[in-house]
Amino acid sequence: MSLPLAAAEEIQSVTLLLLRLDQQLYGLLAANVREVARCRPLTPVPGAPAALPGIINQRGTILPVVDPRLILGQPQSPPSRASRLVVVGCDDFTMALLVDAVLDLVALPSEAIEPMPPARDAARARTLRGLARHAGELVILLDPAGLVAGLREWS
Amino acid sequence: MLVVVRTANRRYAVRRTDLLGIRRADVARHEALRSAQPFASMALGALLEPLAASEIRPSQALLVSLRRRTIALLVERVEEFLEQPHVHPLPALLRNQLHQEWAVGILMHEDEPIIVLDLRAVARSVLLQRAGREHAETLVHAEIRDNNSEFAYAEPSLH
Repeated sequence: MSLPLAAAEEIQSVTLLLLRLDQQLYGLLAANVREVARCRPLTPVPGAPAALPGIINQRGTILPVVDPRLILGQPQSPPSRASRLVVVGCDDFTMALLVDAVLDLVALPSEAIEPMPPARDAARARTLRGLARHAGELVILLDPAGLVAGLREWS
Repeated sequence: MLVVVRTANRRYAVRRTDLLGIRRADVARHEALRSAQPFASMALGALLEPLAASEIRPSQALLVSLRRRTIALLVERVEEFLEQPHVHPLPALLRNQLHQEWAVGILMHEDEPIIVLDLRAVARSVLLQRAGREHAETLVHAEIRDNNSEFAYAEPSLH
């Protein structure tokens, strides 16, 4: 018996939100993404680490903003006009990731996702879920739960 | 009750129960000179936003009593008193990562999130900073004294 077409597509493809951080292309599973918002001034929280640059009020909900650049070992950079806040829900937390740009929502075949090669830096490797290629460019899949674990270690 | 205050760059809210009083900064300094009680003061903005330097001189002092000392945390102005504010808890992800437990909640006021401070915790940090600086100065003086005595001891052999 064959699966209905929609179900077969669901099993065989993965939808990713493509974003850029310091020239590198990253992907987030669309299932983890709640919304994308324009970057706006953050309210810094005294005593918080640099990877948590502040909070925002997103439709009445207070969300912590996470700067993934620092957790991924990239240099910190001030937000630009292209910067976006990607609201991500995972397990029992919701956070807004500050990214340099959001590019597209794409569906990739499941088999196009490859596991991450063994890394020397185990802490950083935990923040990444896999690798893929899109339009000839390497896409690194971010793991939101891994980012939170990375944030704890980074702090 | 919460008191909304402004530093040169931001607004914060503090609990009225944490405060011994609110004075003009010069009056607080004058009163401290007249009384025998130890007194320390620091601009709240300089402590909480060390990277955002400001030329504005804070004019109001939020007084906190701690360990028989009075600590004056200086702000640009006191803006509002809120009788029944609705304070949101800090998101858990943030609460667990704080290096300093100065922030205790978030007040949503005029669509703006305002950090609610534990001013007694802030005052404790001021005292610790002062104590650390005094301890460091004591160590530096001791080192200078030791170096001088070492030099004095070594001097005769140079001739």
